[in-house]
Amino acid sequence: MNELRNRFASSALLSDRKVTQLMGFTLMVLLIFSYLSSDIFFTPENFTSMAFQVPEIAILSIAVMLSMLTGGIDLSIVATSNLAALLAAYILTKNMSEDGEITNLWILMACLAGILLGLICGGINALLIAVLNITPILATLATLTLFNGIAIGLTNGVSISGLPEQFTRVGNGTFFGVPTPFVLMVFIALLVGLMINRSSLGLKIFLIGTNRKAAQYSVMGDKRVIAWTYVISGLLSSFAGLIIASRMSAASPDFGNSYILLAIVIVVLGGVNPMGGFGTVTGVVLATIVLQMVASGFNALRFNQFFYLAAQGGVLVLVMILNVVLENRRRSKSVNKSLES
Amino acid sequence: MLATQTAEYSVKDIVKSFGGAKALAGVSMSVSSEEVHCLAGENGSGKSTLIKIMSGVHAPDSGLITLAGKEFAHLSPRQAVNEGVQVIFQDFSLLPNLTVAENIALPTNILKSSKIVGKRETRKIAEEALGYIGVDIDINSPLVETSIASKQLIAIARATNLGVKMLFMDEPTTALTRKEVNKLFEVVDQLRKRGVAIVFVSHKIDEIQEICNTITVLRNGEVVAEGLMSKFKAKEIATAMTGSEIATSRIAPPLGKDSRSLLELEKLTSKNTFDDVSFSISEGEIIGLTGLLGSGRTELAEAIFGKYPVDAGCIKVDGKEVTLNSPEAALASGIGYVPPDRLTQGLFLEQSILRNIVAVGLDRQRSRWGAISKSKLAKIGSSWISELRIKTKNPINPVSSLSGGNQQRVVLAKWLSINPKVMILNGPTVGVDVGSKREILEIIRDRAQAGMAFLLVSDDIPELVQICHKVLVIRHGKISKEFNDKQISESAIYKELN
Repeated sequence: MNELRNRFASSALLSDRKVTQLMGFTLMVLLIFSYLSSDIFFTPENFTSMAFQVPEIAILSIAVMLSMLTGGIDLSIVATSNLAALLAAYILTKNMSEDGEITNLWILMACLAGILLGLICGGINALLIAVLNITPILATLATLTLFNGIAIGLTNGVSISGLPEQFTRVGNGTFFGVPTPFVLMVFIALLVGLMINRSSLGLKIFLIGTNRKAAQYSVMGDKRVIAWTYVISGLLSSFAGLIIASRMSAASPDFGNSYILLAIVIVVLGGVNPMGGFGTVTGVVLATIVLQMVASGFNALRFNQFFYLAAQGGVLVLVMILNVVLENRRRSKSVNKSLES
Repeated sequence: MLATQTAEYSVKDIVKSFGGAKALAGVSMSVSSEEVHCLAGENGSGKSTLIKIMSGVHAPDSGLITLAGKEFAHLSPRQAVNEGVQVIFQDFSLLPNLTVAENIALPTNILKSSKIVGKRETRKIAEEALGYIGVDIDINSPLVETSIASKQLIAIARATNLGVKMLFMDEPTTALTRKEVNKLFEVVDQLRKRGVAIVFVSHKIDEIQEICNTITVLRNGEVVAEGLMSKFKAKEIATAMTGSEIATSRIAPPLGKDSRSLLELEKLTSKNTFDDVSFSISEGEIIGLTGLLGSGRTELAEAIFGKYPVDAGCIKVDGKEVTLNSPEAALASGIGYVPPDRLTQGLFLEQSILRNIVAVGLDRQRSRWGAISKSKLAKIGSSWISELRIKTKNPINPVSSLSGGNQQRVVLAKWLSINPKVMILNGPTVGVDVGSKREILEIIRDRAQAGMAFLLVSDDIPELVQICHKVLVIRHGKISKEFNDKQISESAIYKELN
């Protein structure tokens, strides 16, 4: 039995081969751009700038990952994050003095209000998907339009800017030299990682994403678990929204529309199975970093922005082909293995 | 349409390896037309590989295939079809959203390379094919609405349409009731008389003896027994398959004298499915429940698990009346359920063996803060792997890498790990080889002896006879007969069923 346990421990490390692959890939991209543009790309300034840009999209991607692990998807993340950011920005600007002073209590209230709104948005998705059994892609497409519409309607499409300095300090500050948003992202990624790997809710998410029917026969409370993933997705979206508002010193109803697709790209690139059941937080964070490096690298090399989009797509196509090839190889190997045993 | 004179279909000295592992180590088998040949063997003995070689899916490493005089080193699937080799797989490979007629005629139309398919033509082909095997099925109904037994016959009809000369049937009786098996056997016999060579793959020894003329038994990729069926006794076939003797006599574990009753059903009724069902199971008792498909047996089992609505009557667990309106409620009352379809209902195929084993008990492993310790899960998993002797090199391997019998043990472990008072098992040995079956029955017996109450829902009468204290037969939703300890016998139960 001890032997069995040891085998389990050693292979658990190997089982995240996708993460190892991604690490290698990240290193490769890093080396290529550092070589091609050591004067601009391989500089502390550039790394700091990347560390400011990665967190928001990484957190949104982690939100998408959660729903994708259960075999669903959440398209309303950006709409939710904008809505949360707008509410917080509205409270902040209403309660600050003319010279931009505001009490810490109001900042806290504004953030809590934004987070609460994120939870409510996630709750609406949970209701539609877990209770009313509406297909996730349709339900969240509907709420995406709904949340977006509310945001545009209430603001007349105008963004709220000029947020108090005490609030924007967080999004633009550093913590022991590391950009604060990046620290927050690491913290959130750790929490979500712990949740999906070390809690019963998390393990249930993987199992439900693998086979919902078997989950029902194993009495897992599948509806409750799925509801929670969308609520948490809403919560994470609101975090992203607050970080964006703090960094940009503004909240806009149509900020980051391209982020939805980008988040899906990242999640798939990060090795999450779009059918559900498999994926890691580390993979998603690494994938975000890879894409950000490609973007910065292209900037540093003064390549055409349009060309960058194509490169991003090209990376995704390459990774998917690689995934399929590796999966096939692994499968034929495991078939042979099972025949041997 | 079919061959008229006797022909031989044979393989000689077939060797086939997959990545260094020999699946077939020099197998020879010969089947002639007008013969039903049994291909028997446990899971992993090489039966499927042999079928795949004769139907052109795999190419053998060495050896010779002879089909009605023509010799081949290897076949392509198209060649195999042209030579009249057809296989009916366990899942039938039918298209559920097409009608019966379209399913039967489709391959014919494809072979003829027809670009346009007429409805009338399709119906004509289907009617002819069904008439040929003497079966009456509504050809216009969608396939999804037909029973498993009909699907089996539809697959046969489709094969005859393609000019079948040699037909492989892979465990065709697994999901059939006795009555349906009888009908299937009539059809098989008719095909045989018309000159088709039939290879019948099955685990069920009584059925093999009934329908087959000759037999080849494989074990570990080698032929361990062959010859005329009449030369073999049931016990000899089982021994050849497993390599060891198998007890088939009744060994129900002894019951305590004043054991308390753990599950009581009183006049349990659900509209249109089952009616006025009363029985009780006490500590350590194994009660068998059998009935034809559609008799309400699965619905009754799922009602006790809270997955099927109940309209009247009551259920008592350990003396207390409970409302079981959800699986959560059933689990809380101490009722476990192993569903009939292991692959879609029982297992998370791509997930690890470990995660599968702990799936039901997850919430019970929560510490403070709701955290779950991985090493604790690994410990629980490994202890069940050794307890139920699940054969695997590594508990982190996906459960799909296991054989059917070992997969079923994982489903059992999942429920046994939370130690329910009452276990409902629905077809726990379906599609499991003889050796695994014996071990699974032993596991049930052991747990019963430890005090667990069992409701064993099964089609497999010999299995019920082997381990049950009492067998209930359900018919049109009512318990039609109750066999007590001394009355239990295969023949009596078969008689009640048909």
